[in-house]
Amino acid sequence: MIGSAGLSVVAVVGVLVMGAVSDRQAQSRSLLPIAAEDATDAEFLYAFDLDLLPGADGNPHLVSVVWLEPLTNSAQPPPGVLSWPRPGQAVASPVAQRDLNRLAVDLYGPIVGTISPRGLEAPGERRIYVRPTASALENTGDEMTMMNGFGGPGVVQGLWGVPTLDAQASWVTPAALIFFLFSPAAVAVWLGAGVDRERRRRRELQLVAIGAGVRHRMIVNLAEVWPPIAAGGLVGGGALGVMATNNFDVGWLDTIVLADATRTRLLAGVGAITIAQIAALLIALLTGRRNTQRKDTAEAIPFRSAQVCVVAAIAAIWLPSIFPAYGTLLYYASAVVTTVTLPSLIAMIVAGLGRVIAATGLKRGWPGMLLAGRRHAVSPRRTAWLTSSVVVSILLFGQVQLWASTLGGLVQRDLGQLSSGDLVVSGGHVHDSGASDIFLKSVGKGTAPVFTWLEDNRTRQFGFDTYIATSCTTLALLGASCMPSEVPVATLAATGLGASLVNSTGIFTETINVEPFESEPDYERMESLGADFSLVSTDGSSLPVLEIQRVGNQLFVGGTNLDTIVNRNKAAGNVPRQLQHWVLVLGTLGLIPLLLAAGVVLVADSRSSARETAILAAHFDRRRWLAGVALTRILLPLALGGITASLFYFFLPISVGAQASEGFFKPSTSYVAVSLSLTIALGLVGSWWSYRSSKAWATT
Amino acid sequence: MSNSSSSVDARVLSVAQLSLSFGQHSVFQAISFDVKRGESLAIVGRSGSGKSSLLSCILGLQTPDAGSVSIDGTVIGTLPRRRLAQLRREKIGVVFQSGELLEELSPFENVVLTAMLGGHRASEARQAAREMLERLSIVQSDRVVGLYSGGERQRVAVARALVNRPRLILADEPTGSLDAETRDEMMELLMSVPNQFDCGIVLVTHDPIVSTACNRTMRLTDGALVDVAPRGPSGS
Repeated sequence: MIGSAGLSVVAVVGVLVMGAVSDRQAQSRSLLPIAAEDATDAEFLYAFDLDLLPGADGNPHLVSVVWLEPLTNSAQPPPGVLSWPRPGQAVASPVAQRDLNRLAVDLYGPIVGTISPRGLEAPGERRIYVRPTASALENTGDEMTMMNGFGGPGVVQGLWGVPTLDAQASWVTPAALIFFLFSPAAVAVWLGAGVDRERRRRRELQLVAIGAGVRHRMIVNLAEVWPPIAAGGLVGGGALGVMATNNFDVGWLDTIVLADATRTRLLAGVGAITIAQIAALLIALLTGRRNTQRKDTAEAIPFRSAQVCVVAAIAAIWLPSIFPAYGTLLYYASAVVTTVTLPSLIAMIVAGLGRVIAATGLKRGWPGMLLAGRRHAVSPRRTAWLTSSVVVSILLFGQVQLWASTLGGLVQRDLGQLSSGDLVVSGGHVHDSGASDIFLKSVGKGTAPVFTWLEDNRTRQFGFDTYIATSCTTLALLGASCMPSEVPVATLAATGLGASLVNSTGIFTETINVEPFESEPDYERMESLGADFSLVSTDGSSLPVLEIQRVGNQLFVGGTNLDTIVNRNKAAGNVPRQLQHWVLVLGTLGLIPLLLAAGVVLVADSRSSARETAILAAHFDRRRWLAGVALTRILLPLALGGITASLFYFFLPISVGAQASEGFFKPSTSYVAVSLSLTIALGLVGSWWSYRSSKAWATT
Repeated sequence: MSNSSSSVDARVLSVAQLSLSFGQHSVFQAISFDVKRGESLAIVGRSGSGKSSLLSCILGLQTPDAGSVSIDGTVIGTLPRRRLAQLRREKIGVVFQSGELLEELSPFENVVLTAMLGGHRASEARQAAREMLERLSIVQSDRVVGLYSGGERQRVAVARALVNRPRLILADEPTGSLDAETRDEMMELLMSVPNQFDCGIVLVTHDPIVSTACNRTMRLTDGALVDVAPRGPSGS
């Protein structure tokens, strides 16, 4: 029932997620502007920008900012907007509005309306439509593009402003659902179907003996497994009902799920649950059929599966270094095979240990060890069944952790370097010279501009020289002299401000040519050189980034693209962080039925072994040895499974991690510690339950 | 507990005026019998007549409404739980219908496990198990008991019951799942036990052929236990 419930919930989640992805694609297309052929055809001017908006979680989030200026009275406002805002005003999506309301400044001007869901790629999207001020239009209106409508034929490149998961390539989302949700639920069904297999085997033999055919036996088995599976289906139906009648705003996932969207997919959800039920039935019936095949009491050691496990593990470690272009794919394929076959390897190891333990028990007169050791030696498949859930959980969830490794070392290092505050705000190209002059005068005291640009020089390592122009006062703060000179970048980077400037502007040459201003910056020359400009703090205090951005938004269409490296790194870290949150949630949802099924398996195993030992325990009234049986029977394989799986988790991604971006595919020692602790705890609880069951049987 | 050779002290089991009922239903009333060392007693009766309940009372697993049970001179009714358990370990061996052996263990391991639980040290337990298997002509192998036939398993069950040298063997339908030939072999084995191991044996069965092999047969019917066949010479 647990596995069936898991599969049904997976089905519902799958339908909703895939539906959301499909909706986003369609919505994105409907929001693309249609280019006008000429000025007579144009209805409005359009410019698209991506900004960073501080969110409730303290991190900056990407927001789509669309600058629109109607050219005719008949121009239709964008989808989801009732009427055009006035110049200097904006209309925002609900989430963007919520973030903007927390700011002390009107970053894009007063928000005078809300974009309805019809005008958003996804309910949780951050999107703002801004009507530029007259000054901005005058200064940089020529950078806008003429359009005459929405719903253009363009290809949706990136889906911005919303959580990362459904912005992935289309194959990633269903792959994630299958890997993190479907497979654990399927394993849970398989585990549950293995309970009472001896009783079912006997029943199968009796049915065959009285002449029942395959169809009759299938009906009998179906009658047994259908009720719990149907009960699991009801759980899925309940989940669908809840989603269809409630809106959910999950802040941690930065996602909004609307009941409306679920209701449009009600039929698909019911269909998916039905398919999940059929899948669960098939798994249960096929597993039960397999488990009713006559087997000798002494089972064969699964050598072949164990060998496959070792080969797959070696492949996971070695192949990515041989074929780096396919490294990730090879790693995951090998890791999946390793995960599925690892229980067999553990069963083989435990069988060997069991022989040693039994011999020790025989030699030293420890009946518990003798019995439990021999049980492991002759029933390796049962051991594999017992350890499957733990092994699969650790390795599966370990892939979750590896995949979602967030904020790589580089980002962390940058954040650490700039913990002193926003000393540098870097921007894009210099805008219209006149506007730049006004902008600089507007941003207040304690701020100075710095311009950087590149000039060709074939004699240099990278083929060009880097130049920097600023005032003498600023040069002094950067540790450079007030004269045209070539300065090692390391000299600049020796000061805190200089290091921030170097990181922020991405200077990578070894030296930099300094050009001090004589008095005022030559904006026209800077613009002609295509220089980028930054603002630096001259008094050591953090720059008022939001206020600077507000001024920029008033003066330039698209603002000034001002940003800090801290913000950029935080935003970059948001992507894997959101991904991590999603995979953690999906992984946890997938893990829950698996762990519950593990509990059921342990209880069932305890029940069957308790009966066998009870008679001896009752007759001799010695029960302490039952504790030895329980610990050796339950804790030993679970602990060994946990340790082995943790080691595999740690070493499998060695070569794929060496090739990946910093921070990705990096195993976590914390994860290992938590996994082992939970496994040992499960083993102890399982052992205690087994001991208690045996004692209870002995008493009765 | 003394083991003198007088006829009174030779009794390994003495049941006096034993009565048992479950609610309004009376299982048996005021039954009395005894079993000497070297003697075999068969108790027969229809299904549901109370044979297994009688065995439970003898084992001390069921408290009778009245009467007493003595094992090798010790009345069990007043014994504390630990002392009763010790008495069972030292004085009683049990053979079940299906053997109730541990499937994953070999015959040797099944017997040695019982010896360990009986309080023997490891080396003594191993030695006792080897000797018992040899005396009962059970071939020692590493094959698990789960792979043995019914007759072979019952032989192992007898060995297990005898390893701690009990005074009394209780066998509940020991031949119930065996074919005729194997049944006869089992009965030959069981009937050799009282003299060979200086103990008494009480055998519950519904099979008349099995009961006639014993020195004495009693029938449990309508709550009463009556002799069917007279007491013969011990061991004959």
